[in-house]
Amino acid sequence: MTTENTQERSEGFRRPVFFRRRKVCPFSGPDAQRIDYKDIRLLQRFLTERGKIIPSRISSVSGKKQRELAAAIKRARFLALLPYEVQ
Amino acid sequence: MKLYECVFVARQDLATSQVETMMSNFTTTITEMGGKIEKTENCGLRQLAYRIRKNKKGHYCIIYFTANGDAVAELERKMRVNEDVLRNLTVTTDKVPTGSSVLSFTKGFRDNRRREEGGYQRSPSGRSMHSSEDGADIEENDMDMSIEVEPKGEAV
Repeated sequence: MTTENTQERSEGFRRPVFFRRRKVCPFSGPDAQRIDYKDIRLLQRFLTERGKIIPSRISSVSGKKQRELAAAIKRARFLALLPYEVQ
Repeated sequence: MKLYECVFVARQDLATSQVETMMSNFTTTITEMGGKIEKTENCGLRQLAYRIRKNKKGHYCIIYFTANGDAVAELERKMRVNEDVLRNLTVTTDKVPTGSSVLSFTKGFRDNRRREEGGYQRSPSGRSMHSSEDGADIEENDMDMSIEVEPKGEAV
């Protein structure tokens, strides 16, 4: 009885948050955009409101590209193109 | 001889002519050490995302050049010594981009932010209702949802 309840509850939680997983990585494919630390408009799509990097399980970026993206964001933060933290 | 891209930020109190002089000083340093300048660009005064040494704005400049490693070391040393340079970053690249840089015509971080509002909308119950194409505004609660431990030991 307890197991059924936990299953139902977790399904209800998970579906709206994670259905995006089936999308393709925006940086792979023939016309993919290059990740440039100077292009803050592109980088900002992968930051939260508070300026935190969105995990790849939500943004559906591939592993390799997520590492490049994170490195680019950190460079942009160093050059004051992006903030480290937004209040 | 590798292709390098150097971005540096000069403090806001300088006039544009002074920034240009600074740039030519750095380019002379590179050519003296046997390097070759591919492209220079002054991207203008931009709003900084956070205050650096009490400056809110800064002059962004980019230099593309091919050189040896010791030229790069010398350039970075000069920039570190120079008090007017707030930040500098030298990176290897594979090609010089054509046209003006992205930094010249994008606005600061704040203006971008206001235009691209919209992501997860939170319903009163705390669950996300819909998500848009650009980035997600995730509250910390959302991310912790999956790791939440289901309370055990319900009264049977």
